[in-house]
Amino acid sequence: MIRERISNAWQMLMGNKGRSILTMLGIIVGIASVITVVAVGEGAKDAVLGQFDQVGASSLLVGVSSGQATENDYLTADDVDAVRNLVTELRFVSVDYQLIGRTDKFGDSTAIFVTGVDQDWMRISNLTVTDGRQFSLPELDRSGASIILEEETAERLYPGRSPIGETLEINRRGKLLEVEIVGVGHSIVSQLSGWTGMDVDRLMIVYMPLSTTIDLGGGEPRFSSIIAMAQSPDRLEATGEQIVQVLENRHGNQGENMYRVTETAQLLEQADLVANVFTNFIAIVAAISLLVGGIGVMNIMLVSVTERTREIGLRKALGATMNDIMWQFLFESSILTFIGGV
Amino acid sequence: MSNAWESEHILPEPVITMRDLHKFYRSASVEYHALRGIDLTINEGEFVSIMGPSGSGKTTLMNIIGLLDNLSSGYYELQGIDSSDLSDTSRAALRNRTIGFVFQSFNLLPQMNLIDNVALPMLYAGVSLRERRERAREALSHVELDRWSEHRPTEISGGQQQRVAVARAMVMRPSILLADEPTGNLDSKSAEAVLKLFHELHDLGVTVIIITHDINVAHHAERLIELFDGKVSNDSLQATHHEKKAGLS
Repeated sequence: MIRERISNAWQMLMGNKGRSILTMLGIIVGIASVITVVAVGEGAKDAVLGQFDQVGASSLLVGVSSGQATENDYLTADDVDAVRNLVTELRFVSVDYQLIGRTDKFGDSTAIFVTGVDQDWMRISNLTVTDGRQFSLPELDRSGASIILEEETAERLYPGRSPIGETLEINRRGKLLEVEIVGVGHSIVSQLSGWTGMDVDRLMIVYMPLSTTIDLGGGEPRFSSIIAMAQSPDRLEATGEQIVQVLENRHGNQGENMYRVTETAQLLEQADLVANVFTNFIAIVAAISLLVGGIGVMNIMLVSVTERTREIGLRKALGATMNDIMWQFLFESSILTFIGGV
Repeated sequence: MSNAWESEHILPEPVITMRDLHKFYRSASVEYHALRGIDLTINEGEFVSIMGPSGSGKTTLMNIIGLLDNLSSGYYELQGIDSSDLSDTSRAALRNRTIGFVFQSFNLLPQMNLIDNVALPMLYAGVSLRERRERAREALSHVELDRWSEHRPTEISGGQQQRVAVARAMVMRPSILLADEPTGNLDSKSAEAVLKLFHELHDLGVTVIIITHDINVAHHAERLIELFDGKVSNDSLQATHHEKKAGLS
């Protein structure tokens, strides 16, 4: 019986194809916009977060956090070696070392944001090269004068052409260093820069071998934080505690709460939150358009009930009950919304 | 003539019984008294015309006979069943089984082909698809339109549409055929063909009730009921066209 009613409703709809299609259009547009918005939102989120994901889940940052920290509390290369040797369950460990230099190559003195990288750093931060090449091992070990440009920076400074093979001079407090651009790539730094409020439009972001960067910085460097990757995400907390313990032992500042552990996952959560707010907002807009489509169907059905009083009267005369009539309209509108939705 | 009829059928069963039937229409400001005390009995197998000027209550009476409208006071019995006891569902079922409707404007559904239009009452009666198509085709061939069964109502003439409507009215084999101005929109030739169908059905024992204001149509019936101002003003037996023609030939 239900099948026959559906086919009866279908027949009535096919008898007025133009109106049926227009009515469905409201639903089609509504549902299409909801799907598109949610898909695009999710896609964009995945693209951003996927970048972190390969490393984010098990990497962490241990940094000096206290305002009362003295020179003595900051970290040295020896600290990094100690952590590497003493903390088990550690896959990679490196330092977070960045400095700002300048270059005159692009007109007025342009600030260059230099991140020092070594092998472990590249693994933790997932430095991926899209043009040119990675740093070679000799370059990393022996202070090679090469840099990798961050993608957006490369696009801005060398629009439409490859910067590979170009050289530029970096000036850091009077010290000059000529470097060659060997690659273009991106890492967690370029992703994070967007969230940390760095002025990407004015800064050049480049990666340089850590030893070269330390030389350029001059003297015995003191680092503010260590970055590390644990063996597995569930050992993250324990690993963080061990690192802090090693550092406190070496610096003799136990109990002063000098070092703080930040898990990349926490940064991710914040980024996620921002992305969600955005997606939700657009989803609400799309939902409203779906609601409008639904009201459209309701309106058309209401009009057609008024318009079709003759037909309703006839069907009643032929033995239809009020229920029969109600089901017919319900089936007609359900078919419209279902097909529109599909 | 009526005596002859009665001699054949010793106890004619009343199919419609009305006692002091009133109908008011109320709107916010106006009350309209459409039927003012109708007393009427129509027996099984009668051929009745109901006449009257517009506003006399013809259509209201037809709606009440057809259980499409409720009465305001009085008593109405259809096929021995008191109409006041009926729920919407049992009204629909009784209407479906007992009465076939024919309307002035045919009222075929333009979205459906002829066979589906004819089969529609059986859909509401819960008849199986195969039997529906079989019986609808039979009914269409009875009105000589089975060639057109897959066509839409808009593709055939008004006279043909009204014959399809008669086929639809009769497909449930009801005991009463209720026609409201069935020839109002037809040329005289088509009207004759439709009335001929009515006579055929009457000969098969169907009670035929025609509501009309055309005296020529009314004269096809054996009994003429005239309405005026919501009351029966005249109720008489008459010699029909049919019989006159038969007498002449």
